[in-house]
Amino acid sequence: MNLATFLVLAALAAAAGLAVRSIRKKKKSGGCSGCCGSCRGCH
Amino acid sequence: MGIQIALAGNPNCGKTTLFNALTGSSQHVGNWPGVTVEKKEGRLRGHADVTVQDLPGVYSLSPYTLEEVVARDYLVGEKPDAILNIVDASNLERNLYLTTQLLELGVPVVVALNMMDVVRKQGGVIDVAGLSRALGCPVVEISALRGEHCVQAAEEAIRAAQAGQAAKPQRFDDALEDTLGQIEALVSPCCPPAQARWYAVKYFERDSRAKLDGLTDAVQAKIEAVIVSAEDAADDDAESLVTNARYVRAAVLARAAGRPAGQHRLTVSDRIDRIVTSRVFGFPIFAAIMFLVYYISISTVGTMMTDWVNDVLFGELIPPAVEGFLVSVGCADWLQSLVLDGVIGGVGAVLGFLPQMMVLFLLLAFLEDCGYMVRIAFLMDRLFRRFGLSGKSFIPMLIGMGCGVPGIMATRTIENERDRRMTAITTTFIPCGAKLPIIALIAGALFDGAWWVSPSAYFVGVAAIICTGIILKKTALFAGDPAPFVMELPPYHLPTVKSLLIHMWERAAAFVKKAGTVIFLACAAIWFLQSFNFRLEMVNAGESMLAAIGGVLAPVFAPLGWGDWRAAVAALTGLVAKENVVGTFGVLFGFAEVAEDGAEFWGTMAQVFTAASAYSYLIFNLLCAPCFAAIGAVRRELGGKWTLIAVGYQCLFAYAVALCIYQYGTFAVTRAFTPGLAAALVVTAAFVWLLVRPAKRPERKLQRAAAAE
Amino acid sequence: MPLSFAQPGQTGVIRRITGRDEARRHLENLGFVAGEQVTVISELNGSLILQLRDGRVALDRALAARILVA
Repeated sequence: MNLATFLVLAALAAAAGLAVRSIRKKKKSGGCSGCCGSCRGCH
Repeated sequence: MGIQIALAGNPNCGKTTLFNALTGSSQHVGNWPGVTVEKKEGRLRGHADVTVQDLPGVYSLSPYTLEEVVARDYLVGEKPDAILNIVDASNLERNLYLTTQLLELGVPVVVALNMMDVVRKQGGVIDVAGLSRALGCPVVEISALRGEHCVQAAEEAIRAAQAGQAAKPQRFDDALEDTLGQIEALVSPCCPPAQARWYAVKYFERDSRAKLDGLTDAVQAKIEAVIVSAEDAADDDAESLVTNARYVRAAVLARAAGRPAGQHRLTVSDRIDRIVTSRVFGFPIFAAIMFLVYYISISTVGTMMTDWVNDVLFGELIPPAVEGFLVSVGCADWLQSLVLDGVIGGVGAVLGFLPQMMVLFLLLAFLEDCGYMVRIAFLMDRLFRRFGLSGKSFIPMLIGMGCGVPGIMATRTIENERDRRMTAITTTFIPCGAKLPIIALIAGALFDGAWWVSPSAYFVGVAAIICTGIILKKTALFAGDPAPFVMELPPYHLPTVKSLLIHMWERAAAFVKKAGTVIFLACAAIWFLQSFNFRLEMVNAGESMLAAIGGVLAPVFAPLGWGDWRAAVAALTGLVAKENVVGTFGVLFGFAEVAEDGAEFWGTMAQVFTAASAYSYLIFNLLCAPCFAAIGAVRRELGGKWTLIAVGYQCLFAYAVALCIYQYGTFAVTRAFTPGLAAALVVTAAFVWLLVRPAKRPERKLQRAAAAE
Repeated sequence: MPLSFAQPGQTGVIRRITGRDEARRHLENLGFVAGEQVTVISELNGSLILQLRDGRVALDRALAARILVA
């Protein structure tokens, strides 16, 4: 694999890592999948 | 040594708005220990050592509902340094009823008079000084919505906390005061002096949760004797005596504030309610409004923008640009495919629906903020009651129009366990925000944007709820009388543009974030599975791992008209997030082609579905099991066993309905009698039987009598 | 007369609420106490929207039937 491929792949992997971390954080703060439009604070 | 200020007040009095204004983003939301009521606390802006504790909205500090118990345990047990009591000025007496209780706790109290703008608009005037004198505590006018004087109210509370002067309880009538005095003398040896009055009242009411250690049986017997003699003298029970006395006092306080009791004007709000909840116009208006909401957002305004995003942004602008870049730097072909066909194809397909989402949520936010949503609950109660359900069950469904997770969590407020289960099972039949791209995609790609498709998604959901309610209520497991329905109706008001835009923005941001995380990962995974076979060689989609997996699943759905492995797989990915159905389609169908034109994948899809199978697919995805997050919420509320039952029921129901739609739809065109059609007929017959069979209760006569009215 | 039989526009004074359960206490906490005036704003097959003091409360028919007014 050439340099360009490696870099693009690395960028994608980084994005994926960030995505996973963001999902983990959301899960900890309480099961809210973040898709509330009517967020009265989940209650 | 920080200062703790507790925010107390009725539901709907603007407490949350005030809390947000005072604490900004430094809030911490959790649960009160051991219970499922939400606990919110935060630091007061600009004061490092002052914490604001938001208590649940309560009408009273009785020991009956979870919210009341939580609020009172905190106030009596953890003793805040001051209480900031938010009072809705347009509903003075009922709010002051709670205030009389707060004044007995032995804690400094400051009253924040909210919604003064509503009062002024109604032409009313409040004598704040007079009220303050009568209450014996400071009163601050605020408008939480506009952020007026909120800080002043908080600072007044801080001053009260620092002065440490407990609030003075209100005096009731002489006879009651005499009785309470006797009890106070009996309990005061065992409690802090500031709380003697509180405990005296609680013991008089025979409050089951207020217990003081050290009260001997002899003393308790004396207390009981005092209570009984007071009840005999007044010919009423102790609790009612106190409740009445409090309301009498509240009326006096209201008069001191210059609001004479007994004003019976019909407000504009009432006039609207007359029409909007009437027998003749109520339901038609509701149907028309929901129709418009979905029609406007998906089929008109939204479509124009979505078309642009799909055709231009993700058609002519981004993909060629990215492709150009990747080719020019010499990126490997497979990686180009991952980026273009996988990520951009999938996530782009979903993001394309952002405009429609935003319009829909703007409209729903308007309906909720203006106060109409609770009227819908009232209408639905009338409808639900005929089938043994209560309108209380509809509130979670209203919340579920945004996201199913908070909707399911809202089922906690339903006391009746059977009703709570039933509501949790059916709440996700209403299309949530994440299902919107599915609706919009099918409406746009497979029905050419027909006007009836998206509103029908909502109404089919409602019908599913009602049918499920009828069917389940006839089984022994769920049978029972409907729960009582009591609901406060706040007056209608025009939401501020600012709050609407904030809702819309929050929603859009959450959607984009979800697209960039969950959907991004899912699309990359799907791309991988459909690009490689089990030996990890690059192949055509049809020979990939995904096709193999999908091929196992697909025949199950053949009777529904969509036995194509791609449709089956897409539906499966919906379990992770409903938007993934669209994302997966974007990867699987867009891949086929010349995908420079975003609409191309819509075209490819159209070849796989007929009208009947498309609608069947839509309904299946709308009614079947919700996403994992929602399933998780159901599990937290109902436990593992009932969650399995719920998911099983939902999938079965979805399958049955989708089957009938496809078979009847196809029959209408081909007039051919097939085994599939026969199956659909059997299913329909079973469904009808479940709906109309007599209930398993011997009180059939009562039901017929009720139905005859 | 039970409140569920009242028509829109009618005003009554609460005499008492039958039963001794949680629903009754909840109503009392909301302000449905003896001697208080209540006006019917809207009626939908026995379910009511009522004006009580300055607020509006919606009730189902069964509950409304337990509130006796004169």
